Amino acid sequence: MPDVKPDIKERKPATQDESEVPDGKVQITVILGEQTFKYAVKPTTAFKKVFETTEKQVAASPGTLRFHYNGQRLRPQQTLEEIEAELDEPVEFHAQLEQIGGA
Amino acid sequence: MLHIRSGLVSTCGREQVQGEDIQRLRPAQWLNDEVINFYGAMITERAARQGREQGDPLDVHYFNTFFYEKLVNPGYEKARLNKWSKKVDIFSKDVILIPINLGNSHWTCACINVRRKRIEYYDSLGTRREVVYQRLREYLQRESLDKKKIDFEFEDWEDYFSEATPQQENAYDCGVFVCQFMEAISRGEDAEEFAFDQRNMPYIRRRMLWEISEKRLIGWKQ
Repeated sequence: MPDVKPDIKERKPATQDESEVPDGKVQITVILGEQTFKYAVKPTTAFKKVFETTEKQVAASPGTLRFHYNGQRLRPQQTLEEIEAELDEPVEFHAQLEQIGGA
Repeated sequence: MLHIRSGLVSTCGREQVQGEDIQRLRPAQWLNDEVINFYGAMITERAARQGREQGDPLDVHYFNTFFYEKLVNPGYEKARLNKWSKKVDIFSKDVILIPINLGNSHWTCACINVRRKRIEYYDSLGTRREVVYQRLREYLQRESLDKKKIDFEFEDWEDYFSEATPQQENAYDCGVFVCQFMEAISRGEDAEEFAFDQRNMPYIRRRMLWEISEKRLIGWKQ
């Protein structure tokens, strides 16, 4: 029987330092309360993955966090290019939990 | 009662509501940020569509339900609130609508009424909060420094709070009141003129369901 090696290829960490941002990618910082998460994404890549990963990190149900850039709501299928993100300064997304009220 | 399907129900600009959100317009349910921000987007869109004739809606700017929360913590600079108005001159607007969530249990509404030089606050439970006026004055000052490099001219500006603000008589309708406050303010009404009260809430909930689904505001005078 051939020796099957387990796939031990190290997964790329979800968070990385600015210095490690690969060519052609832009660093996005997602801020949720006191927590921050950093991602490197291509300007043409949809935010879906960023949203899903953030939700996983904070154990939020899929689709329950609200993400904003400069006060504008972001949708999972949008890209940095589409929202005309200013790339000459840090790109910060703000994530929020649902707000409710009645009384 | 309209049948409410699950999944995406309506889109207005960047705002969307799902069936799960507008379910909250059924009797006695608390509203969430999605419903309020969607209604705000509809009010803004109507204002943008209309002309500036007598009786038309005012020139409205809407800050979503997260604006005030950010202004309080982490504050104007750290939250980079100057970026929120990058593409708009808020000082040229008639009114700036600012829904406020308190402790994830109560919705109220503030308004920077540029036209009338008033900082307004509306609470369907009748509590005047001085801190809201302070925060919004602070916002105007910082925004003025950021955009115009001058101090904000506060002369003749008043803090407005009216006893005539319609009041809720239960523990669940405040979000509906806030949506109606915003809608009436956007047509230039004063609290004394708001043509709704607690008795209308069951009907207004049904009407809002229709309005959001159809993406069309009915309004009292149309």
